[in-house]
Amino acid sequence: MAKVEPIIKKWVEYMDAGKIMGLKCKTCGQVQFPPVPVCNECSGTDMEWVEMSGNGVLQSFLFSIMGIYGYTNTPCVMGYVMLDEGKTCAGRLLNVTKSQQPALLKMMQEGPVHVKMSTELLGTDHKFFAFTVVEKIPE
Amino acid sequence: MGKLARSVSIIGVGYTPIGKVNQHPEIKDLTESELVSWAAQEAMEDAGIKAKDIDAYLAGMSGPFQSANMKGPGPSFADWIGMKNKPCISHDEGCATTGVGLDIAVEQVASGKYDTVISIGVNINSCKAKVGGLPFERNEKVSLSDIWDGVYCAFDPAYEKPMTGGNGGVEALAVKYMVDNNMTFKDMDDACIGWMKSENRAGLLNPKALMCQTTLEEDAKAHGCASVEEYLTNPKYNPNVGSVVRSLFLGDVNVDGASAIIVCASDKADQYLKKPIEVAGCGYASGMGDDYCVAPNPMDERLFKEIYAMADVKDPYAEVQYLSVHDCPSNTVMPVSEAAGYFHKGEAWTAMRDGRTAFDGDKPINTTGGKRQLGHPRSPSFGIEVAEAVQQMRGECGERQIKNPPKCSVIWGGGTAWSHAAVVLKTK
Repeated sequence: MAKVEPIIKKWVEYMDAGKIMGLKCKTCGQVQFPPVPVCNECSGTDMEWVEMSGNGVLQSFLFSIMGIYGYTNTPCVMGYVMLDEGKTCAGRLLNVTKSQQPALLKMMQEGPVHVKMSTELLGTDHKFFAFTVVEKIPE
Repeated sequence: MGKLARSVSIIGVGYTPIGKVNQHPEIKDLTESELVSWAAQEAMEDAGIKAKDIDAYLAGMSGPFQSANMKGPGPSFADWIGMKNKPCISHDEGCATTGVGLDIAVEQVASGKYDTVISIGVNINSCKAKVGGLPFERNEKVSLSDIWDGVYCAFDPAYEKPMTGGNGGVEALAVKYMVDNNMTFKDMDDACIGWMKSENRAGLLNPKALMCQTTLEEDAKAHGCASVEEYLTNPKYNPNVGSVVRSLFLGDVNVDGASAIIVCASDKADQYLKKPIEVAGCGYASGMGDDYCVAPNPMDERLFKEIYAMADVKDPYAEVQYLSVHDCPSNTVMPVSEAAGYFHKGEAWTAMRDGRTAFDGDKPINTTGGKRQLGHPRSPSFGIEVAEAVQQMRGECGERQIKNPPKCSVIWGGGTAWSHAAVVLKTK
């Protein structure tokens, strides 16, 4: 009998406790991040919580002039990342400023730019995941 | 993915002038129902068909907030297009709405259930209707927060909003393109400026582009700039609103209009006025935009593979002679046109910069004037571009006609958040 647990609430509670979790498909091993109850690789529904490695490679970025709509009005640079688990996702780049974008672009054109995941308070009450670029970015 | 069960053709197209219902005399005081009626009547006249001979309709409108205080508007439009008591589906796939509507219409005819179906789409975005008031009394301005509140409602609420900042991440496609093609920020500006020049020339020749009345050279001069390049890179007149997107590179979403496309079983199409244009391939795809950093975008990779297989297009670079790309912003034309195979990898940005995408270039794209020069009325947008492609293929586009009317065209649209749709049209 199919049943879906409150995944979003549990995921946010994990992040509030400083843990970044995904749901791993027990059938094929693919990790769904952010977590969803169905594997988008093999359609499996037998999933288990796993802690993410927190590592990835930056694929693209954008400057969000309005911040994160509904959460914060502070403009920020958002990073689009390929996680080591083989799944793409996006989040705030905590150590990249608007003026560093040309330097960041050049770095990405020259080789992989690595990122580490962490959590930050977003809005007022809860944490969300974000990224920090590992390599030093010129000003 | 299989072939259609029977061949389907477009027999009639129509769209209203695109402008502001509180400003332009051509469409002044018109409501959604009247705009839809106009576009549908034009498409029926184009085909030489009466509403009583159309079996069903698709009604697209993108919302909420900006447009009329309507929900699932199809039934309200029935009487206005002469389709009372006939089957209708109301739907909303953002700016891809009429692309998905066309696809569903094709599927309805291909299945054999209906012989003739019309897909309509409408939005009024320039001004808001009052709740409970008369629909032509639309004096309230649409604010930026109205627009963003509406767009914001389209994203996955748990994940996509905080992941992409709430702006959807389309710009990430363009930055990824820059990474992959060793482009600088200036290269991106140059490509978009070249694109704007080509679109401006087309828009000025499109009598339905009410918003496009001046050349870019005139605009530059009016702002005290010595050149178009100076004008379009001046942060005062064309500021960056993202990493590479400037305000004038975005589509003009504060405009209004409607579009209509009629499809018919190809074996019954010859009785109508115009030479039928076959829908040789069609498809749509959906998902969150968290992978807008993958090139080609997985949604588009799947979509183009499917529609080209349906249409027997083996070498799109050689076979596709006209392309339409939802250019909001202009920066995304590059990755999408390459995903479509219309350009080789890395070729699109120089082609845009050098004017090759103009209606008289060797790789024409968006001869309507595109989303900035014609305007971006949201749900009708795809239908407008289909109408343009059909008219180009028939050789009916007047001064902006492509020299050799294309025999194979592709139309692509992306709607927040996120539906992508595409069709392949062929001259039979």
